[in-house]
Amino acid sequence: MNKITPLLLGAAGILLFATLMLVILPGWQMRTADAPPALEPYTVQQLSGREQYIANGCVYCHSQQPRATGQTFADLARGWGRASTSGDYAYDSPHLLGTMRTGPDLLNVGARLPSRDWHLTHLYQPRAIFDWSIMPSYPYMFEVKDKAGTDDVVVKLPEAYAPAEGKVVVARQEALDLVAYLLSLQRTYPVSESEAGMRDRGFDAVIDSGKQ
Amino acid sequence: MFSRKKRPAQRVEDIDPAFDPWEQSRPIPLFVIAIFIALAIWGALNYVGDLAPERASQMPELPVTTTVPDNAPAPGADVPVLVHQGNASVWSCASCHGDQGQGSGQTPKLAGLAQAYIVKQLQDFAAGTRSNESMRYVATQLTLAEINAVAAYYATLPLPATAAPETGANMARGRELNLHGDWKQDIPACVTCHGAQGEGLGTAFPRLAGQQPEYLFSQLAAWKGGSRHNSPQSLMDDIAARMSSADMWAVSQYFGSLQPADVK
Repeated sequence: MNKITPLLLGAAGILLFATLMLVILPGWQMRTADAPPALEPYTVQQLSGREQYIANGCVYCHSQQPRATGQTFADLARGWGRASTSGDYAYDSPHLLGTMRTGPDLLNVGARLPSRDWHLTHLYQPRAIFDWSIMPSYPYMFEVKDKAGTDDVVVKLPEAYAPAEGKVVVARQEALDLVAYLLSLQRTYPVSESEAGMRDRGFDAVIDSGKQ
Repeated sequence: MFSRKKRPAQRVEDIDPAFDPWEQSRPIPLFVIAIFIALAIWGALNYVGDLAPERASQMPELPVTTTVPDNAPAPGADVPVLVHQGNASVWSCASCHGDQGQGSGQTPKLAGLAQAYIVKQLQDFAAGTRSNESMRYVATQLTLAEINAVAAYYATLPLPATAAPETGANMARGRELNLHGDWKQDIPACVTCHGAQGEGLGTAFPRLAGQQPEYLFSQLAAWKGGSRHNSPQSLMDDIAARMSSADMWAVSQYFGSLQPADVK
């Protein structure tokens, strides 16, 4: 260890090079990209729904990054939408890309399932719709009341899951916020050429030339 | 050992008095220690900063938009109540399929589909020959009269215009498949059953022109993958099984881009 200075300098140099190529240059490339004009910033309600999304750990099972048709058509066939680009996350801080797909990708769930009532039923009891679903239910986001108030949003439920004795299930604010956030997940606008160019399109080119 | 004894080792005056057989300890350079300390402090500050609660005051002012109720158009007397309001257990049709029945993404456009076709699909959802859990939920809770009513309503809705998808579609390939098929892969032309303009025919062959491309693709994939099997004589099951994914996407985008005006 009598050459500690050159060793450290060498290590630091390698680290700097990697940081430059993997962090600084891509970051600089995306810095010049504006948010897509069709993408709306989140509203206050959607942002608090986003907090619910994080707090309830949705990100552990749901990704927000559909793959390109050049890689696979599987995501498109499931209705998860086009491949995402950096601009799709312009208002996401931190992003919620996720790494697990225990559940479906959610970046376009607002386009695929635009019904607030559907989401309320599903959050209250996923098994009411998908009898095989392994998603947890979120009963603490709802309240069972004898009678719905004027401002209450009543959850539509089949008989098997509805509370007994004519009671109703109404959504708490957390559930409404979370659904507002889910419905804002809609990245269906067309992608500009410069945005698309930032993706690795190596797969696409192979497919396209093979199909000529 | 032997030679060492023979060596004239007694010349004490020749030995360097400063010679040390052991490597001297060399202190770590000061600047390296400084970098480590600085990194540690920076890391600790970062960690503490992350632990701090959300600084609401630092969040940018965002526009507050009020949510507009979805059921904007006042339901007329002839509109089934299910379409815009649903009932105690069933969501309204329009909440997913849109106020004009236009659909979005994987949710199909219902406007302009034949009544008999919609009725058959709803019954197939309930029977399980067409698999979609959300629609099975709906279909199993509707009476036949209700199914007939909503199907009749959507069959008479005017076709909303669709925005042509701007993705790099292989439109020429889609058009080729529609008009002539691809007999090298035993794919018949779409026009032979679905009509010259993709306008659909009878109960079994739905309108394709102007349908949501992602929906068309998902259904072709469902036939190919075996999760939808309610086509008469397994027609579409067999055709889709012979199509490549790229072809299915091309033809889906082609039909999605056809405007209602092109059809009539």
